[in-house]
Amino acid sequence: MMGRVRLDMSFVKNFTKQNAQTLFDQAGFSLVEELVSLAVVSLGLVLLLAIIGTGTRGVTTTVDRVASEGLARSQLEQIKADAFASAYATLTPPTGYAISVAVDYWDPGGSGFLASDTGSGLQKITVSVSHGGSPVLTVEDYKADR
Amino acid sequence: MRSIRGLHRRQGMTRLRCLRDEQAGVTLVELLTALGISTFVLAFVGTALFQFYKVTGWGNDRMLLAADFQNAELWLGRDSVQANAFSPGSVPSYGTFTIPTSTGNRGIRYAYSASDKSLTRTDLTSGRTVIAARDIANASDVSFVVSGRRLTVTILATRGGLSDTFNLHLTLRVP
Repeated sequence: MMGRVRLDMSFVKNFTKQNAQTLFDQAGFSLVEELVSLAVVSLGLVLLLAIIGTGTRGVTTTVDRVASEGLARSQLEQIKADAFASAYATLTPPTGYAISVAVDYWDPGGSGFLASDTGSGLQKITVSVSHGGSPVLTVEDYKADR
Repeated sequence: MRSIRGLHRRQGMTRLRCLRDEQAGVTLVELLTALGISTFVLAFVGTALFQFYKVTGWGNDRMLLAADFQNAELWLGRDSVQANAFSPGSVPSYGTFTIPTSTGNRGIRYAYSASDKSLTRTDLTSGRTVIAARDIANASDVSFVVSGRRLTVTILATRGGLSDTFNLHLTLRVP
């Protein structure tokens, strides 16, 4: 009986002086650790999502540009096939896209291209393509009355 | 000799009991908190990685489809500018551009390649064939319609569950 008490005493003495403090510290630190790791992982996630967002935007922009280039080329080719006129028919663009054509006339008097017909027989055709209301590209070409 | 009862009153023993109680409580809360946070974080990481994989795959497919259309547009645009006629053919051949040169006419034939699943362009003089557009599932996904000097080409390309149609209006420029 006395022996057991002595044993308990030595256990208590050794345990409480150092190990107890260590355990208390450890108990408090674990949550802080978890929160720090959460912050680090969250930062990584935010960066990952930013990469996805930027990549998607880049792909969409490229696809828009390719589709718009095709559309602008098609429109200019159609105008090349049309007879010389003061206005040209526009193509029916795919859903979401809009196309507009402007015609200017060369001024032999030296004022460059003017909106009114100067009778010079040379036109500047400006084709503008927009998608979702925002402009994507503008292409210019010339057409002669011949 | 000190009794057990006396031991309990000593600071060390009180701290041990205190420690035992504290440790038991903190560990449970900690465990649950850690489990909760970890589950939350893992769910987020899993979703983000899945999305990353899926979105990049989608982006890759979109870019390749765009590249197909751009290639087709460049080849067809180049040929139509130099051509004075387009004679429709029967599938797998879509038709042949006639390009006048100083040494006689040159033919450029567009056809479907079932083995490559692509639209091919063959220079009949040199015999050289290039791929104008890939990702064409069937021969009927491409059409060439000629009306006078106007040529309309429609291409339906399919890749990885995505499909897109490209309409190209061309003019045979050489009178």
